[in-house]
Amino acid sequence: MENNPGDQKVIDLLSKLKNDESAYPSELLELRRRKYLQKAVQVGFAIRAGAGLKNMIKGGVARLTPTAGTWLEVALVVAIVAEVSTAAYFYRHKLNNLFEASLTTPRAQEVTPPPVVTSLLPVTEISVVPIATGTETPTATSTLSDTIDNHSNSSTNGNNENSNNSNGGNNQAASTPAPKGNNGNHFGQTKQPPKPTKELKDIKVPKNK
Amino acid sequence: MKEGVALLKAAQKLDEEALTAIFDQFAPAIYKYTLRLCHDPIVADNIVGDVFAQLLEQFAAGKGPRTNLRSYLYQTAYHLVVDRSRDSQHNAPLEVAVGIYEKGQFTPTQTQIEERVMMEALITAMNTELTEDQRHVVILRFLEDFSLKETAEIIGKEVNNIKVIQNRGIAKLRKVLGMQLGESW
Repeated sequence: MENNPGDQKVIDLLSKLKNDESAYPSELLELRRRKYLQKAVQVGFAIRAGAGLKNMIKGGVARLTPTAGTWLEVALVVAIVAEVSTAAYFYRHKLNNLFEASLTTPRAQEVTPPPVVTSLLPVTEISVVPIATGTETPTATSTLSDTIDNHSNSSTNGNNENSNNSNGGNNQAASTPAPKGNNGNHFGQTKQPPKPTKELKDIKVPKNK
Repeated sequence: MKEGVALLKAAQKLDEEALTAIFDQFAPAIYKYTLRLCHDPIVADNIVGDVFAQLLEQFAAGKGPRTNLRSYLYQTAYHLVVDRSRDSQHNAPLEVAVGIYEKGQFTPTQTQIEERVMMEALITAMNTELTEDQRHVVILRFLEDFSLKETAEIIGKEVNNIKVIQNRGIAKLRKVLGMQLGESW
């Protein structure tokens, strides 16, 4: 490249160009310099402060002699004990309660009866009056004897009713009479009326009558 | 005053004197380089501030340059300029560099007039004809006097790649100047 005379001319021109006087304006330069130094001081201070702290943390403990280390330990232990004692003094009542609660043996709790409330209102006793209910047992009557029985039963029942009425209804309800072997609740066990005998069929009733 | 590696080591320990010396030594050059790229004194000043702020942060974090502080500062400035130009799509002209020729109060000779015309043509060609990479490489190599290796480090490319970019840039400038200035090219 530099062998070419034209190129060399360009390079010569460029080297002349570099000698221009476009200098940094003095006021701008001074202002920029001041800012730069300010920042340098800040950065330097921050770095030194950081380094100092680091040294204090790292080197401070390492520089202690064994005796000083022991003393430091003792001082720390004493400080901890003092702090705990102070705290215990301030909270002694709470601690006392806590210890009592934990040391006493657990006892069975006494059950107290619930309090009886006596009211001034008169006590009214309520008695339940049973209502008498008569139950009729329907019975199919086809025989004479049965009807007599029923009639006698009904008469007796009527007497009973009368007597009940005369007593004012204060008597206890009469229990249902015994079914006499036929309570009527069993299907197929009711007494069948006796079948008419052949002899009765054979009796001829005179038409003329 | 400390110099070189000693200055760098002292700066890494955030020594105020060393940090001040670094600023005084490199801030004007970084400003000039940035101004060539972005053509705005305020932006150039801000980029200088950012460059040195990043340097402080790197030192504080235990990082930063170990050997070539100058390359490191230019590299940081280059990245900041590129980031800003990407953000604003700002085409950085080099008109500020002509200042020396505009300030002259004396009556220019014929040679000086010819030279000024060539300079203006060169600056225009650099601004309009070169790619961004070519412009950066040409500025770093011929205006800031960085070596190929340093330029490669700053831009983040291989040395061979820088060589190619540089050759193409110079060739393009020669061609443009030849077309503008005639037979002497």
